[in-house]
Amino acid sequence: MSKLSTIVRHLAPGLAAIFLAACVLLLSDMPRKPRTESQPSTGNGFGDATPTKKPVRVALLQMASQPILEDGAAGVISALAEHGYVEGQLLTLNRFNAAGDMATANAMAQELSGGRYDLVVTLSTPCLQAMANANKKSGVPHVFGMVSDPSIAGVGIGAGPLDHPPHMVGIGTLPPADRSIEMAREVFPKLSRIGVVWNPAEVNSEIATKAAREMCRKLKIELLEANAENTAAVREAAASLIDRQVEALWVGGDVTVLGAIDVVIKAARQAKIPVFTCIPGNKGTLFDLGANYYEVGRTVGLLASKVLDGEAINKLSWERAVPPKLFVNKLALEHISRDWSFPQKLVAAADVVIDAQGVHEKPRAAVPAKSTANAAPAKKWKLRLLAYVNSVETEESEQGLLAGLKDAGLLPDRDFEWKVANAQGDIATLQSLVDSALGEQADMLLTISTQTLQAASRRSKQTPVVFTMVANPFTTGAATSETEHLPNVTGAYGAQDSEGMMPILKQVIPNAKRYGTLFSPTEVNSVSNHQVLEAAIKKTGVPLVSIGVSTSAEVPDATQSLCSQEIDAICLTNSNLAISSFPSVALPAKRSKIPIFGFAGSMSKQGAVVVLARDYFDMGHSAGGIAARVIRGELPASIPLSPVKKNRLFVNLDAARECGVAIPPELVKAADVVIGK
Amino acid sequence: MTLLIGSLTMGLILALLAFGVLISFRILAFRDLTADGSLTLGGSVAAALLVSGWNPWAATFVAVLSGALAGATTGVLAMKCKINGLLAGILVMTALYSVNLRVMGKSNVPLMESRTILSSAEQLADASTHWRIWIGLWPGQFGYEDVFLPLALDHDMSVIGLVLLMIAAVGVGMVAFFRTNLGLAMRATGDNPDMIRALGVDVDWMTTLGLAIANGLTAFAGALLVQYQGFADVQMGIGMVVLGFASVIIGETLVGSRIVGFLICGAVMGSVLFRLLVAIALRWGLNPNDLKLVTAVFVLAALVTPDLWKAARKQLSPAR
Repeated sequence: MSKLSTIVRHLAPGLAAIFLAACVLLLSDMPRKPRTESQPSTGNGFGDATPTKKPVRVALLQMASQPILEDGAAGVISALAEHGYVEGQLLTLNRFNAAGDMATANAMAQELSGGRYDLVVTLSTPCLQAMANANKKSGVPHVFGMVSDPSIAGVGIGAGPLDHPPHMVGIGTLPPADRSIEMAREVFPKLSRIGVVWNPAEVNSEIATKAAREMCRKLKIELLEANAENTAAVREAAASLIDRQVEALWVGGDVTVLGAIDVVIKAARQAKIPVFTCIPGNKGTLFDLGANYYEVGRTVGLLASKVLDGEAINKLSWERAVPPKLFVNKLALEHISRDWSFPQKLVAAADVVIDAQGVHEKPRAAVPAKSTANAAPAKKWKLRLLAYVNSVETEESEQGLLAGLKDAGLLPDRDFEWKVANAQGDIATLQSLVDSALGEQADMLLTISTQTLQAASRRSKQTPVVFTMVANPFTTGAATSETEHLPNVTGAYGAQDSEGMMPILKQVIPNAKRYGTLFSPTEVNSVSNHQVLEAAIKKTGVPLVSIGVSTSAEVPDATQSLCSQEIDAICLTNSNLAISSFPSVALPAKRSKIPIFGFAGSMSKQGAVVVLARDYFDMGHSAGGIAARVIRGELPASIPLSPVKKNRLFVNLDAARECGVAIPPELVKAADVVIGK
Repeated sequence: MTLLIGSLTMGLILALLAFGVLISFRILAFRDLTADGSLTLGGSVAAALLVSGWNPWAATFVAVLSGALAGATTGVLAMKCKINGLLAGILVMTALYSVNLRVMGKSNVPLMESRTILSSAEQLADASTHWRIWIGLWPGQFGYEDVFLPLALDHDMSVIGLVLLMIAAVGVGMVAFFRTNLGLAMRATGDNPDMIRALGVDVDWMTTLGLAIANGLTAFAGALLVQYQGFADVQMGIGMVVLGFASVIIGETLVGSRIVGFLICGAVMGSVLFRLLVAIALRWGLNPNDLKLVTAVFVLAALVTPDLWKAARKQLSPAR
């Protein structure tokens, strides 16, 4: 007994302290619901709500976090706001997400039919069915959307517009299957044989496939079908179609196949045939002609606002609406052996065009007319800037980000709340920084450096992450190409312009025998910069001596040893270390009269002869521009990663004279900044 | 809630580091700085193996072994080559920087796609969702979706559960070990090497073994840390010894006892409390530049509080 009490006595203070700290943390981390503002803000055009509207509680139930469902949800919220139901003011909106699980959806529907809400909005067919089922007795007003064909969902909706239960109304959206096949004919007039993989267990897929059969019969195209019961079977089914010599693969609104769309695209690429779909926004397909689900969501939201205004549901009619959205991917043409080509008319009509220059998206037509490019966003965004270490580059990036936001017409305090956090080099703190920002319900995380990007993209699945100060995002796990990245992550990256430096080197030192460089093997950015530089110099045929340095203390010795190896110039690989300890490179080089060619603007004043800068300020600036686009309502998933391409050329004539090299006058003319005489 | 769970998990993972520091600094009285390197070593070995498709448990085990090897190297340098212990640790730590770069092949390895110990725990949580619905605990049931059992937290919960289990297992194992003859001899080595040498125990061997265990635990922390944060970075170990030592000190103050079992519990509590305090400081919107100063103040407070407490008690009850 006394032993037990000893144990308790010794452990109690610690446990109590932990409990206390946890409580304090939990209390300060409690999600604060946005308070109703005492005065409706006047700037956003929503202030004209008629006084008859009363506060309402609305639940939004969706099946999963797919991009198209998110688009739809965004449409619903925007249409509600336009009709006077602004979230946080008149509207209390609770969102429910079944995370793809039917049992959860049923449980949630049960809860929602309990009568705590004035209206329930469901997105997707399973949610409609779950809600309709749970709601049979209580009859809570219910508006549905993102459903292919409500009349066959078995929820008591018939063919006529008023043929629906008295508490339930909504919008049906059949994917434009027939039109997408017609369009394939336009793109490739000789098309005679296409293949489709589909899951017979899916009602929506069946509808789409039937429509496709009809259209194919009309156009005299042979439609080959293969069934896949689950995602795992898709690969084999697609391969069997390819073996039967189809000229293209088509995917209808089949959730099973869409879940494995990458597999289908990969198989098609190997066979050099295209994939096209009638669901918008796939990566790597030739074109997607689908419904514009944002617009569908807005139609649903309009219907919901009518119900909230008090219109009788049994007088409202359910409708079919298919606002089209066309994605055209010119890059995919490269992977096709036969001569598919997009007619000009089609490209002009497309909502999103992907080509070698990136993704071009038409602005959302439904944005309220008042909002011009410089208007304030609908809400004040909470921006959290996260950094890993304190350094000059971090500060430059931060200034760049702020300048980029400002140039896009967004001002701190007015349009966004700006808070900076720095892990001060401690990796454990870095995780807490991300968690803390997410706990504060930040609307967007801005990250500086590769490690910060990795920590943020790992922890944040929904909150947008915009990164900068990353040389190569494709090695971080967050992206595989400029357009294929985690749906909530985007940003600006940039590496030194090694290729661009080569002609300058040649101009200044025409008969170079050997170049030298320093790089930092411990910095990801520096390693990838060095690889590119090595490849570029190899092309010129001049040998390169490379020395790796890890700490600033090693820099002077490394430079000495580099200078003693009969090099004609130092082409300094960019790294945090090179920037922060540049004087230790400049001094020994000056003594040996060897010119330095650098890639960071700050080096120019400190004695580099030529600097081709693509610096962290510029990178931050373009990341700031991207952040502004996200704030204005674009989805990060649709914003490609943007490489910084702009260069600034600095020449330092004094330094050149000291090293005994002459800078050609045309280079001086081309320079943005000239130092000395 | 995310922040709380996040910092608790981080605190528990770093408790392994605190265990390592406890063994070397407190039990062996050996000022071992290898930990900065062996933490990263554990992380980079685990990351390299995971990326090449190893089973996560096997990868973690090999990471622990690699850390033990690093610790043993420090031990041999210090005891057999008669190099000052502090210097031996620094040497190995410095060498490990290059070793880690070699192991990973580059300075940063992402694990986004790889299966890890912790992602298998998340899968377990997914599988249990059906079961939860069945017994009637579905999200939103209580009306406060954000506070009670939200689904998204399931993953975090399962991860922290698994980490807690592992820490408990390691802790119990350590208590058991320090009760065996070997464990007792190791403790005596730290307390009074001359005495224990006179009893015929090989002090060099004891120290080397102890350092191997300590650094193995540190590498374990590194391996878990990497799997939790989703990437390994060559600079992740910097300053970790200090962090571990701070946890041990805070823990000692909390338990107020030098008994091994209590010290081990203290290390866990110290590590968790330390992360919680950092999280609170962050959450309260502290000026980011002051963070390190504040953490230093925590440790200082932990060092001074017991003495102040004692002094205050003396003042209040002069009769005793």
